[in-house]
Amino acid sequence: MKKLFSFLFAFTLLFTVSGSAISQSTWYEIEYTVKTTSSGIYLVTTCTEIPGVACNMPGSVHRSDLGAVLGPVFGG
Amino acid sequence: MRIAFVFLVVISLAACGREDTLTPLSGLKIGDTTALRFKNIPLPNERSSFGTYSNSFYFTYDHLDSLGFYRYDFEQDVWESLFLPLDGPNGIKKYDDLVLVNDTLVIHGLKGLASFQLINLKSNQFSTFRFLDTKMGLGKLTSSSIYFDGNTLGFPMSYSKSNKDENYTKEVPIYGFYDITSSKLVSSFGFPEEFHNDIYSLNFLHRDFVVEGAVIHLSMDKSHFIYSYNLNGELTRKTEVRSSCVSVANPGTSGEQSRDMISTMLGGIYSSLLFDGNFFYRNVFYLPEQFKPDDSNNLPMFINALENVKFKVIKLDQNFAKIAEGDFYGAASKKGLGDNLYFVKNGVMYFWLLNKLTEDEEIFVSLN
Repeated sequence: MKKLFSFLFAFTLLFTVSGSAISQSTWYEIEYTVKTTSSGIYLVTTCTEIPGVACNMPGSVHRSDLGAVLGPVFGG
Repeated sequence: MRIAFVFLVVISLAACGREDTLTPLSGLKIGDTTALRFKNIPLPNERSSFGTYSNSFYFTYDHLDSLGFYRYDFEQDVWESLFLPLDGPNGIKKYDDLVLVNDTLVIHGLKGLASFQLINLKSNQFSTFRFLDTKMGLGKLTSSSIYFDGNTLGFPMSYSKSNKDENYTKEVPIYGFYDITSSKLVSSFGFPEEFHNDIYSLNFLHRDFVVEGAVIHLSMDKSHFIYSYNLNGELTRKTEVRSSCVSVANPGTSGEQSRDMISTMLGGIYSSLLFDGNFFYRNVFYLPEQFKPDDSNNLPMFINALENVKFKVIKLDQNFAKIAEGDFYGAASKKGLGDNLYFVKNGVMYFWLLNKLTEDEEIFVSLN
């Protein structure tokens, strides 16, 4: 009986781990756009629903720190 | 191939500024100015949805535990606000696009969950609708992109399929009609035929929808045409509204998204199609030839060059005939104009003036 429980526990654990691995394997494409605003120009990255390799949260939006992007230009 | 593409872009843009019309157009000039004062509420940001409806401007703001919905009534001169919780039975589940369908109803996308919500803002009633095909979802929503007759809901769509697949533009739906009584997608339409036989970057395929009564108008960032569809999803009209500042030559996909963005934008884009109930506005975002960066693969150089970007507004009548146009700067450093925020006040379209005078205020201008 104890062996059966151990087997069931191990099986459940294996199933859970492999299940989460499968769900994490769904990746989405990241898309770059530029937004002109009254405060300046921003680079916006959006996680699309298109399968790709860049992000895993469809619909998430981020504004990039242009300071880091433009540093090499203004910093020489 | 790349040299040929650059050559094509240079040739086609050399004529930019000399508009291809036989009828002289009046030049649009800045008219009336309206300031929106945000006082004690947050300003819209890149995660905000915004829109204009029935003489009001509204936007959403992503708070940590709720989505704020703020609406400014131009007649009453007041802000209204309400907060939609993220969790719970009446939770919005995700921060996603949210726009007004009518005076009380909003539609809210649930990207990645093949579903969307309709929320009655007065009764706080939530309804969730699902797509049978789990690859379907809502596309980018704008306030003018929604059709609703009480039963059928029309909206931009997205579809989870790789755009590197040669059948992508043939197979994916871009606008759908959903029967909310039977909870089923009843019809849809896809990309125009011109886009069917090639592979494009996602930037190249950006699009904008405007619903005018029972007609859905489609403006692609990279097509000289405006496509009009009926409620069965059938193409009923295709009207050319061209600017010589836009090249529609396909640079293909590079495998690097920032490079795709640059190659799409270097050729100029039709950035939006707007409608104020009387006139349409087809807007063009382009870099004049002399300001294009030497290295088109260099993101910092490109962003830097955008300080000189131009924003062209082409004003159209309801048959899409050009009646006026104006060329403006498109960056804040030159106090330009933009279409990343806009509204309709008393039947007149107001564009965002990129000139910030105080921290809690944004200024908008009409064009005439």
